[in-house]
Order: sequence, then structure tokens, then C-alpha cells
Amino acid sequence: VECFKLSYMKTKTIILLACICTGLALTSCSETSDLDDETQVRAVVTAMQSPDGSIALHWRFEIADGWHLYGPGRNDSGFPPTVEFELPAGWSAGELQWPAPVRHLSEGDILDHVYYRELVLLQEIAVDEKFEPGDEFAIAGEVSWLACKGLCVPGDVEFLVNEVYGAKSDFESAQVNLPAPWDEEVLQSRWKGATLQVAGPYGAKLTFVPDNDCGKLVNLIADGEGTVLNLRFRTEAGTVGPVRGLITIEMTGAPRRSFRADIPAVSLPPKSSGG
Amino acid sequence: MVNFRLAIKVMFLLLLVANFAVAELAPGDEAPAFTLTDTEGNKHTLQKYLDDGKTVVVEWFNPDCPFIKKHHKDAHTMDDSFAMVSEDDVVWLAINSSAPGREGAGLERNQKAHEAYEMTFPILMDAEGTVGRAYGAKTTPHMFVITSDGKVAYNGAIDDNPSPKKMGETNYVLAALHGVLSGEEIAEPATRPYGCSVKYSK
Repeated sequence: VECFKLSYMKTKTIILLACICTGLALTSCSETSDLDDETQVRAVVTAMQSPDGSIALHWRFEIADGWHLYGPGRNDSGFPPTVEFELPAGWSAGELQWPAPVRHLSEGDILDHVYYRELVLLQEIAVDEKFEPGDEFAIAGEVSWLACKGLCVPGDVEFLVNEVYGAKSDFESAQVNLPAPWDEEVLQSRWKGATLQVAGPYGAKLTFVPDNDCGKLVNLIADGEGTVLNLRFRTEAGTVGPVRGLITIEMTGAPRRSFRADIPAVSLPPKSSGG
Repeated sequence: MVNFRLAIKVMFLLLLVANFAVAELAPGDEAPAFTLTDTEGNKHTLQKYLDDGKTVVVEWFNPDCPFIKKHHKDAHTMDDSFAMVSEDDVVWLAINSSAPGREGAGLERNQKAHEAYEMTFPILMDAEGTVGRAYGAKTTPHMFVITSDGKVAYNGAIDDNPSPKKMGETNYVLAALHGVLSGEEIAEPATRPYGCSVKYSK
């Protein structure tokens, strides 16, 4: 087992540990929980070869108590973690796959969607067709984030991945936490004028986390959570929507689930002039 | 019956308050009036600037926010932008709405930042957050351009890169100022501001 520290910024705010190890060794790397207000975030990246030959990256951000990282959707402030790559020729990085964040409402009606304690992201790296398992490779780049807790501290650090060494169970558990496709057996929706009504399991708390390209909402703070959602949209050029984002479901005694909403914009009938 | 009417009135007022709390200033809206004191003890009244025919740029500011450091320390986006229009009857005002005890608050901290960042325009103190809330300021920075007739011409980000470190390619505020000063239409009068949340009082 070999764990080594790739970089430690002089501000002592950020550590990126790359664990060149197998199986349980990753756990032993990440168990050194010494995060606090000085060192708010630790990022660990591991890699695993997928059956189709591509390489899956597993990003785990450990977050100090009280601090948060930002989600990728519509926020009033903050900045989500980003990864920039230097990849071998012919390779390409897929989109980061995010679990559902939670609402974070600050003074001044500032609404963000964030992660506390831990954030795990998955990402596919498509490889050149000539790449064979066992071939040498190097995935390098820089990961950046903004951690906040009253004050905000940006972090960024370079990384290098040159072996596949991830634990399959880590990838599987991360996959389980990703949003599922919309399921009409769980969530029901209907337009009522410019309002999208969304109902879920009886007694469950629903939350809407809009994407950046979701249609404009009248009041996300008021409408964005409840046992039934009444999402009021602004009408633009006679249409409302599209509705893009996540619906999360929280029920007592059950794990939180999330579903992806991707409902096209709809045209509203013109208002009658009356008589 | 009286109680029922009273309840209806209270509900109506609550709805008004709820709507006001999340209201956003749209381009063309009247810019809320304010009088605030800067870190040197000078008073600044929006209406006075407007009466003098000035176009006013308002920047929400917090000296300890990484996004403010990006534009005031790593680069001098705001001061460089101001320098390009300062001879065109443009006034640039930073406003700090951080509540006492919160990040970036306090006269002394802002006096030091003003000097350290070599700022060429004043920092106005709004510790109660009254002006920030009236403008719906969400982030530092959050930019407004106000025409000399008191209307909001631009509400949003300084530029098109929401990273705390990387610079944008399009300076929305300069583009808006160009529109105001030339009489041309502003292509993007509203954008999504980015930055740290404004550290308002509870």
C-alpha cells in the first residue's frame, strides 16, 4: 500500500491525496480526517477500468464540519468544483456526474444548493481505441472548488492519475446516489397554467433543484420544497419552461432519492379578451 | 367579520412582504435611493449624483471574498474599468453590506482593503444591509449600472467567468456603460451575478 501526497498548498487549506493502492487502501487514506477551518476540503481521486475499456474516475471531496461545496445547478452564489484535464491524444473526459445537493438559504434570500460533509462525483474518461488494459497512461489536470462557511475559501490543486486502483464498491455506491430518470410511478406532474404541480409519495418532502438552463421560476424559495410542489414559471413569449433539474424525495426512515426532470417548454393558450 | 377582514389584510401584507423580499430589480426599474457614508467619513447620496447628470455604477463589495480579491487584488478589473469611463460623468461606488462580525465587515478592515487594493473609488458602508436588500444584491461582486434619470440599466455580473480565479472575456458592465453613454441598446441588460453571498445581518 502506497499513499502519497501530491500537493499541499502553502495556505494549508487544500490537500489532494492520490492513493496509488488497491481496495481497502483507499479507505485507509481517507480515514485521516483532520479537516477543520484551516483545512476545509480534502479531495481524493481514484480510477477504475470499465468493462468497455474506458476509465472511470471517482472524486471524493471530504468537507470539514460546517463548510459546504456548491452544486452545479442554479445558485445565487458560489462556484461548483471543476476539473480541467491534460489527457493523452485521442482521449476525452465526460461530464461530471453529480448527486443531488441540498438547499442552503442564507440571509437576504440567497438560495444555493450545496453539499455538506462529503461529495462524491463520477466521471468517464474515453480512451483511444488503441489503448489496452495494462498500457501505461497519465491523466493529469487541476481540480478546483470553493468552500464556504460564513467566509469562502477557494481551493485548487494539480493531480496525476497513472494507474487504475479504485475499489469497485466505491464506484457502485456513488452510482446509487446519482439521480435516477424520471419515474411516473414515483412522481406525478401536470401543468396548471404556468404552474407545474409535482406530487410524490404520500407524506414525502419534495425539493426542486433547478439546472442553470431551467425556465425562469417566479419564486424558487417559496415553491421549491413541500409535500406537493407548485412550481410557478414565468411566461416568456407565450411559453413556460422547460423544466430541467432534480426532484429529491425525503421520507422518514428511507434514504433520500432524486430524479431528473426534463420536461419540455409548453405553450400557453392565449388569454381570452373577455366580454 | 372585522376579524376576517383584518386577517385578509394581514395575509395581503404578508404576501407583499414575501414578494418584496425576493424582488429583483429589472432593467428600467427605478433605482432605490440611498445615502451612505464611505470609509473616509464622506456621505454619498445617489440622488445628488443623478442631479449632477452622473451615470452611477454600484458594486457590492466584501474585501475578504475570493471573487472580490480576483477583481481587486489579482487583477484590477473594477478600477481599470472605472478608469476607462471616469471622464464620462460616471461615478463608481463600492457598497459593503456585511453585517458586524461577518466576513469583510468593519470600518477598519475596509479602510485597509481600500489602501491595499489601491482602489480609486470609495467603499460605502451598509452594515445593516438596508441598501443591499433594497437592490436585491446577492453576491460580491453584484453590479448595477444606473442611468442619470435614476433607472437601472444593468443588473448582474461583472463578466462572463464565474470562477473565483479566472478572468472573463466579456465585461458586461463596460458593455452596459457603452450603451448608456452612446445611447445604443444594451445587448445584455441583465445577467446572473456570481461571487460570494452577501453577508447580511440576520
